[in-house]
Amino acid sequence: MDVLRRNNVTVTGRPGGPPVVFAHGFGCDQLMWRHVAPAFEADHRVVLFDHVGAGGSDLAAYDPVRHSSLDGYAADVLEVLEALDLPPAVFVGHSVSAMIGVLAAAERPERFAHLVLVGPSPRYVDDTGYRGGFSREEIDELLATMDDNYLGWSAHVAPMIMGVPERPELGRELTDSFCRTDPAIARRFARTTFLSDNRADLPRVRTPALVLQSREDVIAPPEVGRYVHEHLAGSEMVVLDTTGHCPNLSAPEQVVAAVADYLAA
Amino acid sequence: MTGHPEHPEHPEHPEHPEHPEHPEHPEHPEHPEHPEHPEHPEHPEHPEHPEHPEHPEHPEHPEHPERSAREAWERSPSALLTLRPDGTVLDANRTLLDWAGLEREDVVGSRTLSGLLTVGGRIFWETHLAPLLLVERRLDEVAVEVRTPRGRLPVLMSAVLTTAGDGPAEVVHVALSSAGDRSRYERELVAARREAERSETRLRALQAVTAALSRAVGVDGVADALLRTAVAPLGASAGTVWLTGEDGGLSPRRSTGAVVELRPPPFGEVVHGEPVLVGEDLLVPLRGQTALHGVLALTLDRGAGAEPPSVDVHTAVGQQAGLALDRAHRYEERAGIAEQLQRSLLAGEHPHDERFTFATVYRPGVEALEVGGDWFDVFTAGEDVVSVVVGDVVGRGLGAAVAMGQLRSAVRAVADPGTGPAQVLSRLDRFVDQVEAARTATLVHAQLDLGDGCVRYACAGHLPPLLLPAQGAPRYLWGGRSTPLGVVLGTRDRGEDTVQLGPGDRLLLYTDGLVERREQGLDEGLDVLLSTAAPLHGLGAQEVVESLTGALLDDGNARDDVCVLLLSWSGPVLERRVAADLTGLSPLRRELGAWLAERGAEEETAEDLVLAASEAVANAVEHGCGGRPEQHVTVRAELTRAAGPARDPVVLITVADPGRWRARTASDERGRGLGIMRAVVDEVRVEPSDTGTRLVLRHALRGGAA
Repeated sequence: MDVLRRNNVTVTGRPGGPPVVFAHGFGCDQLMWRHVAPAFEADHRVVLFDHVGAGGSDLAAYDPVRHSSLDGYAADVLEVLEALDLPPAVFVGHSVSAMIGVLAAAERPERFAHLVLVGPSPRYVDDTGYRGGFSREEIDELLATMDDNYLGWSAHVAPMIMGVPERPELGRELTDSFCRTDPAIARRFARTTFLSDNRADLPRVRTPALVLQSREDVIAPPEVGRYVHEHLAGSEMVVLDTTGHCPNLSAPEQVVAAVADYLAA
Repeated sequence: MTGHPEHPEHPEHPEHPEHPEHPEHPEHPEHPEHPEHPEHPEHPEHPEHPEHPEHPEHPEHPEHPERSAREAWERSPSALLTLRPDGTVLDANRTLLDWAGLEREDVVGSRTLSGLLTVGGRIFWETHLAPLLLVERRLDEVAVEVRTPRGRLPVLMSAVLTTAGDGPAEVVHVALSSAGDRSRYERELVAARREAERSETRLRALQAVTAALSRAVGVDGVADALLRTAVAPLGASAGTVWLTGEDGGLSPRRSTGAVVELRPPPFGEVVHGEPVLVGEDLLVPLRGQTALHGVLALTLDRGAGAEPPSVDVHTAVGQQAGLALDRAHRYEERAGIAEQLQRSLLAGEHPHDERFTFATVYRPGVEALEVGGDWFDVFTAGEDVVSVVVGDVVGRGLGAAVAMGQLRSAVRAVADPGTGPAQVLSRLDRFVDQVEAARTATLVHAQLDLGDGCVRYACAGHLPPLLLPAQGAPRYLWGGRSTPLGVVLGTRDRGEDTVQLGPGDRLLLYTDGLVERREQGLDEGLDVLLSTAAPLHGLGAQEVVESLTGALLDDGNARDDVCVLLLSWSGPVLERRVAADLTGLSPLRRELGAWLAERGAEEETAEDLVLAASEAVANAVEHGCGGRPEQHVTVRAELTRAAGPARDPVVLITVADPGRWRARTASDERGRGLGIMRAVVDEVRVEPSDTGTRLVLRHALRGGAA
């Protein structure tokens, strides 16, 4: 199988430059990095890809068993890195991809130079002595809501993207890709994302890491970001002056600056 | 006096109407025209005064524009909010507060919009909608739900991101319209669609299982079909089929992934028809009509994203597989009987003769587990002819096995001494006219003359024999071909052909299962057989047939049953003339040694016999030829069989000379070397004849006394 085709891998930037790999989170695809990735193209080889089931990936490659755990996605990432035969890369993972990067780096540390974890959460569900931000009932409600929003995920999201009368060119550009996810796969990806517990994987990582945390984030609250920082040996943490779970869209210039500063240090 | 100021009519008198204090005087405060009089239009309490609340220009007058816009915002049937781009609520109308059951101060400045939504909508907002809003600057009609004291309220949300007033600050205007009815309708549609999809998915999975089970042959076939269609496709990461043994206990038969153990044992007491979840494992009983055939033990996918197992699908799988195992057991019993019959028919008495050897292999069909009516036979017709047959009766199972048995007996019955292969086939044509099940059988029949190695053979619609010479390349024998038995095209005459074998040459007869494959043509199959057989000439007969069937059938694609027979001619007797000057003795010793080795004599035995024969030749030259060099001695070596049930092979070497001599005493014998011969061979006989004297050496080919 061609893993580059499978994951819709695109490589831009300076050929031979140090590689930086951007991994999108739950809910969208590689276009999440549209305001961040271009800033690195002058000096870096920039690798973007879609997880299987999202964006322009090969939906036929979705394997319900392999992709029922984040390990399957981490294996996909390692296969992509293998196929590109890159020197150790900077891996920038947003949301669930932060943990996918953690798993991949724990497995094959020689492939990674740095990890940048944007809004990471090793476990979304509260546990004894741990606050993830959601109760198990709330996650069940999410899954039920996702089932309720079946039409919302499939039919409603598309017109929502298309229906921009003032900016038709934008709509057309985004129609085919932005946040396009097969609804059945999105449902399973939601289970995989929100029911995983990867706290025990954090101490396995030896790759230096930067945690980027929004000031407020209901999906991955600041205390969860701190938890990740405290359990990742040799990590740094930067709190961004923005709110919400997607600083790569709401405050891209802060994300670019924080990553650039970290890599320059 | 009206002129007096105190006179009431005096203008300065207070009661005079022109006096300012007089109530009718316009400057008097109670006069309606006085500005402070409430009825005066400029008085603030006059309804027409602009500051009067009922005046239309008064801000609190309902018709005042500011008052009515605010009122419209508050009382809009849609919930309206203004947000900062990060989602914090800047303002919210009464409708929203009513829906949410909150006061303005609970919401404004402290809450975010996503905090008002159900958790699903909240995550949807954070992961999908907020990014979209930031990129697109608007959202249209997204289905989310608001948390209310009475439960979830389905709404459709539209939003725009825009600048506030003239400043650079951006705000988000959001409208939420109640979508209760529409949402209910949609949910019914969604529920119906999901149910349909779920049914379809289950149906498809079940159909795949059923289809695989219906194609499966035998118990192992059923187990493999289950592992292929009911493990990964139904969300399990590993599976093991446990089957009930004859002792009633369960043992693992086939697995995909790691073996899934049965817990807690004994399983049979735990399960009565329904799948049982034991920890991460789902144990699906495979129950037939009368008995529990086994258990499909599945390790469920442990990934966080895995969906829970569907017990009714697994129940159905267990039932289907149970019935399939019922069928498989019945089938294997029947197939077992047929195979037993086939093997017993093939296991008959076969002749033993040192002048030829043969080896056979029979394998029942793989796919259907059924015998297919293939057979071989070896029998003697007269003293010096051995007949071999390989054939194939059309059909499978018990019927084919019975027809094969009849036809095989018929071949023996009609193959009298002196009846050639073509004639045998013609007689069989008449036989299959009477025995329907044997009609269109194919066979190859060959008769080997053990004396000279000449083979007569005929093929009735059968694949050609393969000649494997002791030296040189193998080749097919395409002569003597005619139609299958009972199939007559024009003439009933059957053809035959001959081929001359040399010592050690071999003839391979076989059925089509050896060379036919679905994915390759017959020509290709014959080519493969030819190239596989070519390097095998150094091996013994049994090794050759086993190597051939191993190489050609163990590719996993063999389906039909296979019968292979290899006939090897040991060659003629060794006969040499040695001149009385003994110049030919050395070559004779070598040739005799080689001949004995070819016939399987051990090295020591061969040395003994060569020594004895040399002595015999020297003796014959000395005593029988009288020293005349023009005379010669004849040496003949042959194999025969010992009397008795074992019929062990015996070497007979006859040395004949033209003289007449006789050993009369023991010292004569010593003088004539007979003592040496007697010491190394089992028996030495001196036989005078009309033409001279013969000395016969007799010795067991393979050690021991003959």
